[in-house]
Amino acid sequence: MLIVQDLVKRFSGKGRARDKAALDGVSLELTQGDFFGLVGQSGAGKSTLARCVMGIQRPTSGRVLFLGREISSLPAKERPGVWQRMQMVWQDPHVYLNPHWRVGRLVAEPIRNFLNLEKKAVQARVEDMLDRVGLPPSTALAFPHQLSGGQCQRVAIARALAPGPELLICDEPVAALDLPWQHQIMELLKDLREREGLTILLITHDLGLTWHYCNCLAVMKQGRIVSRGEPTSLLRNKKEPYVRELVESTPRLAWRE
Amino acid sequence: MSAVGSLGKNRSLTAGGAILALLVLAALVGPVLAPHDPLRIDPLHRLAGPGGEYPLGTDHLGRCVCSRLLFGARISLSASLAVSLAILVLGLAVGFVAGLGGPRTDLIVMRLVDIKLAFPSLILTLAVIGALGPSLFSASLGIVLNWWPVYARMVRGLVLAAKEKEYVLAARVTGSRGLKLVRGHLLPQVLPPALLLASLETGSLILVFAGLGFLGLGVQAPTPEWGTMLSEARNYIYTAPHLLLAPGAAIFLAVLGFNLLGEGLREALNLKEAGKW
Amino acid sequence: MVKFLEVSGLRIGFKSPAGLVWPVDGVDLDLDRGGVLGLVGQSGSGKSLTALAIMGLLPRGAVIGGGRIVLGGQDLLQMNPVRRRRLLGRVMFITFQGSASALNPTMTVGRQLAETLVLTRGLSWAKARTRAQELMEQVNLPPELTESYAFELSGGMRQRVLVALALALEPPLLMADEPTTGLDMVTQRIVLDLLAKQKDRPGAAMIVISHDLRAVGLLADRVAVMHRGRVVDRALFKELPQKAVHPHTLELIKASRMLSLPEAVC
Repeated sequence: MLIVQDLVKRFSGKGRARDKAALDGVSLELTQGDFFGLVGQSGAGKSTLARCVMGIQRPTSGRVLFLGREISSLPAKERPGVWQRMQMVWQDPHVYLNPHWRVGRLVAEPIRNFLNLEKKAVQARVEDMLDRVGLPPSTALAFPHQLSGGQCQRVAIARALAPGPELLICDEPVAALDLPWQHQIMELLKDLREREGLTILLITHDLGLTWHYCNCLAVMKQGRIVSRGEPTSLLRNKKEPYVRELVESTPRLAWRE
Repeated sequence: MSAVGSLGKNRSLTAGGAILALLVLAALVGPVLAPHDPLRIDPLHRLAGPGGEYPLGTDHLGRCVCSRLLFGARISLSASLAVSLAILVLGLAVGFVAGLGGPRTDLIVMRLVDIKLAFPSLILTLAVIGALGPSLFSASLGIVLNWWPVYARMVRGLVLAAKEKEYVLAARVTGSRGLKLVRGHLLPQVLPPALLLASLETGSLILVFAGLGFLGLGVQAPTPEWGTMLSEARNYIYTAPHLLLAPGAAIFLAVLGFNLLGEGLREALNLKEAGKW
Repeated sequence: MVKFLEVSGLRIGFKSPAGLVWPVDGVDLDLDRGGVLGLVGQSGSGKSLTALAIMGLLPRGAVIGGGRIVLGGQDLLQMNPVRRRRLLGRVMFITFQGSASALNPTMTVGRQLAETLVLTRGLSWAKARTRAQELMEQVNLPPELTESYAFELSGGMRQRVLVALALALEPPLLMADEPTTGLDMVTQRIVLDLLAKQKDRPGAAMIVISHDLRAVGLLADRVAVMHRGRVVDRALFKELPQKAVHPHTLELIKASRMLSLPEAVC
């Protein structure tokens, strides 16, 4: 479904950042229905990868193929066509949702932009979307700041689902949330994948999130993918020292089941 | 939060609105209420104090201050409002073009603005008035041409900051672009500070008109206008201070009204009707 | 045996249009010397306010509506404010979540460390400077960084500077408010390990405040779970799953389980 080939992104910066590649030849492959976890520390280039795949940033070289179509060199005008089928959820929902808009309008925005629907149908779809992420229809009347972080992230997910994408890129979707909310959002993503066959690319620094949810893992360090595979095999055999470091810094609970 | 918040918001909006409504009402029905012809000269009652036949006294030619104030409201308010609006619209348009048009457009537009800002501020206004002949219209045009770059520069800065907001990026990914993006996500960020500036400047524009009037370049001599009245009163500040106080208070009220209104608008823009999205 | 710190029936209120609200509504906590207490709860549960009340740093407008905070046998709420302020940094210290704003932006971090040492320990400036460099090394930061300003450092580095500050002060009571929030896992672990060293200091007690039960579990031997201004569950950390009764705690435990690696992956 999504193939990333040898993606390189250099930022022409000054001083320390000069000529440092944020992405240094990254290749990935996601199949339909994957819950793909991309794990790495901050600064590893995970977010840059997401932005390059979304086409918000232009890669220096390399290719991105989505549903068999090369999208990394698309002109800006054709981007929205891709965004209808590939959506994104960001880290902090409170800064990624326009604070002046009510939830209903926020969720309706992509529906109005991507789908040619009548007014009634838009409203119905907004309510349907809210329902799918477990929010009551009355949420449509709330402003983002009236909602908790977890509810807000649900709104962001509803908004991302609204145009009916096949791929959802989640960039640290729970890092700004309290632990119980983190769990609920992860459960929601799992549900969406199981119920609707959504493909999910989860970008996170927290290896703990991936174990119970992801079927594929890739570990990223300094713009490169240092290890990949199924979580069980990848994490159990820790040939790669960096994977071992990540595993060791991730909390394990000394509770017996 | 919203219950207290909206009350406070309404308060400055209502106060500002009330003051301005009062002034606008005075401007509209002033001619009917005015006790005298504002142009009539009464040489026997020059510089009379308030009270009696002339509620606010008379000026150095014996004209009724109260009547002149009421008639003047019309010119002072409408001229400064219209000019302020024109500047705002021009500033917004240029600022948005510079802020969104890409680096080359931005460079060209901003250099033009810089050139304008490098001029001593009244030269252009005076040049326009010189070319078109002194009148209220040419003064207004001159002020608009002189003033917009300040707005354009501020709006551009606001636009540049506004488009970096995370939610603007998110909105682009949800398919909004062009005018939709400007209207829904950028303008609501840019407009409140721009309106605030406009409402403050509307007050000071009254003073600019006054200055031009004083130089004989704005409203022409006998026509009553607050700024001109203020300028004329300057010479009698010790003998007849009420001459200064009356138009001064009117200008003060107008400036206060515009400020409160601007503040109220700023808050109100973030608040839509309940129960609707 | 007398507890080192004992908080009982603490209520903290704020004025609101609807009258007084009580974000902290009857909190009981206790802590022995040498103990580490994890104070866990969601944002808004009152855990940070409780910590601020212990420090005597409540924001303007907050009202203490009752209860006692007894530290080493003295009731802090009855103490005179001048004496109480002298406890800050000497007897107790708190590292805040927003590590950016907890450091003075106009001073190099080295100078800030040194100044703290001069003011609280009475060291000479020369000695304080050397000590500041040692402290930076103790928290695994290169000593050159003493010349940097807080905004030049990453979040993890700043949090480590705060831990260095805590090391410098050696307070008998150390509180860490959300020490890991906003940091990536590897950096979180470094900060937590540094804090763990603190608890080896004889006589020192620590309170770790976080929404993340997993992080708390690495440090705390006992946990108190807060929900809506009250402590709803308290237990030894390792017994929490057996002892927990409140639905919120059960949810928290389930979340922690689902978001951790299993014991087997070691």
